[in-house]
Amino acid sequence: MLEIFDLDIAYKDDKPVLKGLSLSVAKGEVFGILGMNGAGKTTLFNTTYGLISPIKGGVHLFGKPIHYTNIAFLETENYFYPYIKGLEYLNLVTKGAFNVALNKIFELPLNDLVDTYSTGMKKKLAFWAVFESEQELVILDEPFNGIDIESVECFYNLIREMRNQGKIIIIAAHVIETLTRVCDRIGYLNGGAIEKIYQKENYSCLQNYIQQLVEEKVKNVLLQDG
Amino acid sequence: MGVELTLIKLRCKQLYRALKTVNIIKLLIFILLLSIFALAISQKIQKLHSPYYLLSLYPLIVILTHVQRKDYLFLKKINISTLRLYLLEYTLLCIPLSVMFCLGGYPGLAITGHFITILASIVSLKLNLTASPKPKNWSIPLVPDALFEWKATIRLYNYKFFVLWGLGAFATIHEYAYFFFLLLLAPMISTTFNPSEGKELRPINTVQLLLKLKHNTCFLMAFITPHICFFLLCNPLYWYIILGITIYSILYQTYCILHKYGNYSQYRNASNGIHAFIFMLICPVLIFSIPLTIYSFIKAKNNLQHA
Repeated sequence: MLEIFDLDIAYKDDKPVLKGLSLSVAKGEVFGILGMNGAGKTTLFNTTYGLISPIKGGVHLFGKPIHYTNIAFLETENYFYPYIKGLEYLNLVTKGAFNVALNKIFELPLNDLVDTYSTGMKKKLAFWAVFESEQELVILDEPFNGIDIESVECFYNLIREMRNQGKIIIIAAHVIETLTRVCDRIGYLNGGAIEKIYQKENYSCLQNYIQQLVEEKVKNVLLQDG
Repeated sequence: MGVELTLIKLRCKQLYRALKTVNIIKLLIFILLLSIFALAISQKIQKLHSPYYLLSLYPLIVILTHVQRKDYLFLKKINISTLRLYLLEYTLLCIPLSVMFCLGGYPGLAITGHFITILASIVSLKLNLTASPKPKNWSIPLVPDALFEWKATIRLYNYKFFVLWGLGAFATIHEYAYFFFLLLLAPMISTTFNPSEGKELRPINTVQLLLKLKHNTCFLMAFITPHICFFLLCNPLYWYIILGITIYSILYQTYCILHKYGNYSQYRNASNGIHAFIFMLICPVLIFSIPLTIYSFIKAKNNLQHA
């Protein structure tokens, strides 16, 4: 089980990004994190990965403090060396343990340089490497950005496959529909903490809540502008 | 050690692929110039009575390479021993310098240099001297918005940029201050003029292009003035070296800007990188560099007119 407890994060000279955030995700569960831009989703992931030290609180995996070697992390923008081929990237990240047959799903020109790939193709390549990883915790930060509809469906299936393997999966996204399709629970990140966690049967409430929130905001702005 | 060696092999492949994109004539000129430069330096070293300060080139090479790394997170992801990798990479990188020292008759310097390389690699790793992958919105009040290329670079490296700049002042103590220039200022200028702006930020006519050159030259002068003063204070008789360095930096920066606007969006390409590097080496030979700069200006002007 992944346990995030009482997490406080603040950047220098800035207001706190995360304030007392607590969360637990069970083995074989897909947990979605929804939040506005700048809500702190990436900060939460970077802290879990050990890139940011929290002021307070911590992250435990199966009762022990988490270490980055236990995490497969798909960042919003992935780094690729220049003049490297897709196949070489996969070989490097997975240490050669990847199933080439999966390219029937991803349809990537593996013998071409990654520099020539589109944004979506780069995302698919990085996702493939994460899928092949053996880590118990999988963090997917905006995995659906820049990929086509067919690939989004493939990603859903592969995420479900990772869940079946007993992995803990956390996904962040801006678009609610992408999360409702694949997540077992969705947490709404607001004001530096998980405001509420929605179960599958309450996803429509989450949708309505966000709709209302945005409608009120737009109304207020328009009223102020006269 | 396996993954580290795989990565080193990959680095060789990367270099080969990058060079494959370069025109063969350009590549031959580059190799020729580089050899002449290396021989000239090793002959200079032979004439020195106290070359020990040249050991500072080793940490400069290591730190300058290290601050430009963007693969920190990736290396963490593939669970590699970063220290072992850095040691391997930086040692290989410093070999040409050691060869020059050996040719210059100072094998002892080369050995000491490699020990310093090991130390510098450890320090770089422990101080986490890499560039921020996502630069924060750092306010830089002294740099005007028109100099967005410099702003972007300073923002990327934040305080490390100023630390390096400060360290550069100490490299100017000796009369052979052009080592400082080549190893500190030239790569900084090269990084600064990578295309980072959108099309809408391009200068749209010749007047604006000239203004851009003027602003950047003023900034560059303000940037290196403390170093110039420091150098002249220590070596008042060697004013001509400073004059040479100033002309060199202005010319190289002008060329970088013009080259960027003449080949927009391709500057990161290895071929253009080598092009800039060739210019960096032939820059002191004004008979070549000035006509080349004028040609680049015409090319940039035409490119902007047809954009």
